[in-house]
Amino acid sequence: MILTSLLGLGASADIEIELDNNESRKTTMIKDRNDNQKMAYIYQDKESISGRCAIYLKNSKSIDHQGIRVDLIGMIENFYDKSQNLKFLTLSRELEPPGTLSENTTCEFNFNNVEMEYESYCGICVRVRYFIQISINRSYGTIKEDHEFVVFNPSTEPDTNHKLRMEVGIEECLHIEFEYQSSKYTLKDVVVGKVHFNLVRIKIKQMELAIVRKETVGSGQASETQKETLSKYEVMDGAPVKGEEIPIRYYLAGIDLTPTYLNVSKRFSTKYYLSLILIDSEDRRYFKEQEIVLWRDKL
Amino acid sequence: MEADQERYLEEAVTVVREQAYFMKQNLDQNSLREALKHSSNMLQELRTDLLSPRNYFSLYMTVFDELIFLESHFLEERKNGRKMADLYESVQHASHIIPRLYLMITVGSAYIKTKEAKASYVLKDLLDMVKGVQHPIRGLFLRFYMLKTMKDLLPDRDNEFEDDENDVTDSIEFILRNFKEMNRLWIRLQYMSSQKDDYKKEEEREELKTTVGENIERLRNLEGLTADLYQKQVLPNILETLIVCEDVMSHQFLIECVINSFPDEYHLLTLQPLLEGISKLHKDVDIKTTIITLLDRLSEVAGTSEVSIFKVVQKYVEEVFIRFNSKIESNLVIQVSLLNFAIKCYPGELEYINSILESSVNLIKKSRLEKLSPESMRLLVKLLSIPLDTLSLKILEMPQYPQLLKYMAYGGRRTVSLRIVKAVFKSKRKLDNQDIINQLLSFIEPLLKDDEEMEEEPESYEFEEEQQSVSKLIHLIYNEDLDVYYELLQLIKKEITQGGEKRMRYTLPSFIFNLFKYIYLLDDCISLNSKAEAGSPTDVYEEEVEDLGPIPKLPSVTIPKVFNQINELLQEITTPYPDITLRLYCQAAQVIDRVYNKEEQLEEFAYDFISDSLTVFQDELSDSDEKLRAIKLIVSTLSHLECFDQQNYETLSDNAAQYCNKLLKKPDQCDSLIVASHMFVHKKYENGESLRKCFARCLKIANSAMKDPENLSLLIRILNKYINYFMTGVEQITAGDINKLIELINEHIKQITEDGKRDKVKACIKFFENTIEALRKKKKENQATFENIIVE
Amino acid sequence: MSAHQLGEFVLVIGDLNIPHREIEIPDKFKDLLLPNKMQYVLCPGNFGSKETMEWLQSLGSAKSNSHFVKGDFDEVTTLPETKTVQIGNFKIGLIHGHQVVPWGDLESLSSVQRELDCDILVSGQTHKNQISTYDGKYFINPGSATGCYSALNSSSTASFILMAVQGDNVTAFIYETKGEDFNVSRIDFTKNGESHKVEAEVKPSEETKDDDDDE
Repeated sequence: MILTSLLGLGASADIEIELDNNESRKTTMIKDRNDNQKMAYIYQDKESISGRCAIYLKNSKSIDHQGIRVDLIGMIENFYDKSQNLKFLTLSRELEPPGTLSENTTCEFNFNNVEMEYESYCGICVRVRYFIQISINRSYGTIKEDHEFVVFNPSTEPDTNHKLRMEVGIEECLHIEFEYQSSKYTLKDVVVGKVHFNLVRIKIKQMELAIVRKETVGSGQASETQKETLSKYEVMDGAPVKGEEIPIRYYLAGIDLTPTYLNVSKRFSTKYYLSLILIDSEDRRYFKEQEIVLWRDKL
Repeated sequence: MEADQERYLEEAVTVVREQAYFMKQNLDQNSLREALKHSSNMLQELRTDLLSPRNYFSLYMTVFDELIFLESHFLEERKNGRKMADLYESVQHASHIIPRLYLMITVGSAYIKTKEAKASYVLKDLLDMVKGVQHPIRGLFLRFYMLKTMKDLLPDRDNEFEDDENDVTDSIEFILRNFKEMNRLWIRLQYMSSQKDDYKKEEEREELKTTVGENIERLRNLEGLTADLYQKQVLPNILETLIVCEDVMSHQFLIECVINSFPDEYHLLTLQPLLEGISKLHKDVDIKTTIITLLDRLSEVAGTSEVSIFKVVQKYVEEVFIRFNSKIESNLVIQVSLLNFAIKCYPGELEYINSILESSVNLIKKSRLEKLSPESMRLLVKLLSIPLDTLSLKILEMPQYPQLLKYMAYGGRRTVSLRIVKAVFKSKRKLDNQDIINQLLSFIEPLLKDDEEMEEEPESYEFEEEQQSVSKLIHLIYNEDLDVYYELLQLIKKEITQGGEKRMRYTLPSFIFNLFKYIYLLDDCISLNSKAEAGSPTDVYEEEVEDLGPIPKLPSVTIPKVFNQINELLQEITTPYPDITLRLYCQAAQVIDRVYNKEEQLEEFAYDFISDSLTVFQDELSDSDEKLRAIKLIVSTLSHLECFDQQNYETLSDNAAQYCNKLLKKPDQCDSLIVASHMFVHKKYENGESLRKCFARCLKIANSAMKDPENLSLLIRILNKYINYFMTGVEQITAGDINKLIELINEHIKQITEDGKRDKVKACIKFFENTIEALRKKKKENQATFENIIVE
Repeated sequence: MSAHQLGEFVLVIGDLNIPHREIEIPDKFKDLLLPNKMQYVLCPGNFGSKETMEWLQSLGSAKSNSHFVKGDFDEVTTLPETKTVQIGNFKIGLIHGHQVVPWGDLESLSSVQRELDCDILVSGQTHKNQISTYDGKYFINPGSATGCYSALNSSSTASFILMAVQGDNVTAFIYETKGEDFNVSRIDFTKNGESHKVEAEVKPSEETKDDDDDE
């Protein structure tokens, strides 16, 4: 901005966007990959989004323009390959026909019943963003201002929610049986379960649970999966003996989770896994991952 | 290593203090989230692997104090409207298990105190969750913390946490489950320990035992723990936990906790299962301590039980002997304890005591040891002396007693035997039948004869004490029936004579005196019978006879038979102990003098006794003083005897006087003859001729012995004897004899004075003056008799 | 009557014959004869064993205040046949008496008294307790403290004598078993022998009570 103004080409107007608000509208913090945070309103699919923008002319100089427009954009961004970016949603409204702005102006906008199928998301490689964009088109440079908002879409409770149960082991060394009460969790849920040690011939010193996020970008052969551990939780200290049963109670609240996303606009999927990790006295780690389905029960 | 430990501890404590400081600061500023973060940091220190159990305990205590502060703050938070349920959840977000669980317990305590949740809900939840800590030390302390924190929050009879759904059974369940887990952790410590040294490992475990014991302590402090709950729920559970774990230290410590913690009455009630449990403990448990402790406790209450519990106890004790790898010493210690128990609780049950002795015999037999250890010996002494001290002679009714006694070393056997003997005569129990005597003799056999084990002669003073004690025992033998009495004496006689002469020296005189006593009884009995026979029912004796009760039956034993035995016995000790023999001969002769008129033939015995005594005097004695004493005793005895006919008497008295004459020293001859003179003023057989000869001899010797002026006393003694005889009317002694002798003595005194030796014989002169003074007095009182005696 | 009123206590006791003829003195006596209660112990022999002698010695205030002579059945051989002891203004002679013929005869015992030049002669042998005067001298026989067998005496009465000696005065108590109980009789006498009186028998229970009260 500084550079453009030096050239005399700088924007000569500031745009402020404000979404309509009522007391009940919930907000959330949006984190980006650099952990910058900002507050944003939360919307759901098919909600109307209205607001206004204020245009302040700099030094009270009037500007000529070829029209002022508001766009509602939903897009999937790839952090590493912009070519993969996709605007899956673009809604436009003309706010002003081409002309000259000679004084500060306020324009109102409204998008009715917008289809916003995908939730806002900030993952490992991709993110899903929604924002309102105001553009003042000029022949020598368009003035733009974005205003991000968040879309969360609570879903109905899954019909089935079975236990997760599994026997795993290393032959002649370790044989455990674990069980989680459910396979599907809300984002503030508690993972309850237990681990039963049928055979222990290695010197275990610790057991942890971890929540792992796996993000698959692309499809078919070109797809690529990345994973990250979101949280670790110690569930056992010391070595169990044969026959021991260790309880698990893991509060998911407080972990930065999203629902499980499957094939978002054919671009990516995000899945979550519970990973049970055993650490032996020589710091070798043995683990078993189990996918869990996360869903949003409410905003 | 130790230095490292100190450093680790110091570092950890520093962090704890620092974090606690921030925690408190944040609490003051009402910043709970931050405070929890710091308390969690503080608790992180308890995750350490570096500290020894002891140092971990120090660290734990430091943390504990801070947690108390935190908990009290939670209660404050409640007043500010914060829900404990939320707090309880929020502390569970902590990612590390140790801080998480300590905080859960801390909040949990506030949770219960505020009554926001039911105690049993929180207790159960905590109990589940603490399972996550499987590390022995960290787990033990965590659970210890839980016990301590929940101490006053357990639902109990009539306390504020009891209601329709929560009662003491929940608390019992909670503690029992925790106990089981803690015991497992404690046992596991030995496999986890960083120590290589087994001993050190054991030591580390020892240091932690009280944390496990805390569970028992909690159970015992429950007001609502009734005998019924104890019997049905608590004890079976504890025992199961113990038996399953098969761990020596755990068994050792915890069974003692159980025994020591719960009331004696409960043990009585659960005796069978408790003993059953004990008998299944690990074979290497030092079972004796356990059993002794239990017996001590039981002995306080066994009396309250209507049924004797001894048999049950003994049955399991026997099982314990079979099962456990205990040394014979340990088993004997148990026996001692069982014995004390039996005696204290069932003093009348001799069979119990006997069976303990029998079982001890079996234990020793089974041990197949060539030689018992000194410790075993010491215990054996206890097993034998405890019944003796408490039941005294009832031990004689225990056939196993001498069986056990056999296993003692010779010295010990003698000690015990001596104590038995002393107990017998302290009890003054009459030994009135063969059984008791035979039993007693078998019990004290070590005192009665030499033993193959006897390597050297016992110390003489010990031997003397033993034998004198045995000799006292003889005085207790008695039976009204004189034939039976005699048989009893014969039993003893056999034993005494088998003891050899060195024992007979002590025991025989007592036995002989008892025979004397026996003779008198026999004599009384015979005279009663003869009187009864002689008299008709209207006889003058009737009254007398009635006074003495029914006439005893005439025994078959005769007086001569007894004297015959006395004679035989004395023959046996004549050579080794002539002095004693001689005195007993003289005594025997005196006995005959009392009874001879019933059995004329006894004179022969008396004759033999006196002549034997003279033979002993002549053949066996050598010391001149001893000989003087002996002959004086014989002649004085003889002078009193009236049982002889004249001829026999004269033969004996002449012989005796001859022996006096043959004494080595002249003054001794004189001295003895003065006494012998009495033989010739005998009641029945006065012999003036011999008396005159006797004094002539005396005067001659005394006069000729005056080279030594001290022999003047002989003359004065003769004078005194003269006065005696004169007064009693012996006609051979005249006033003239006395006057002449006084004159003679005066001359000698004059001579001695002239020789300047008067000082040497001061005592003699005093003796003379006393004699003259007495004479003067007698004359004054009895002018007629003493008329012709001249006293200056 | 306490000790300072009565002077020095002298126990006269003999012919116990333990262990040859008896196990021990009667229980009633044992309760009376406690260690260190007397100043003197005089024993005219036939106590029996060394053990008995040591027990008698323990009754006196000091071992050196116990005096023994030899009887015919004593196993301690080092004792003298006679001995004299000065107590208060009295010279007291000791002899067992089996050597003095006829046994127990006062005239014969007088000879010994004259030879020993004593005011009181203590002797035993007869197992009959006695306090007599003869020619102005006193003859004391404590009897047998066990009441044991004797060829001379079929009575089984056990007895001993306790004397309180103060200057010229003696108060003597004869303790004598009588069935299950015992009697105490008291005799006062003075050195010159000119006056002696025998007081009436004192009931044992009262006697011991008085003793206790004064102590």
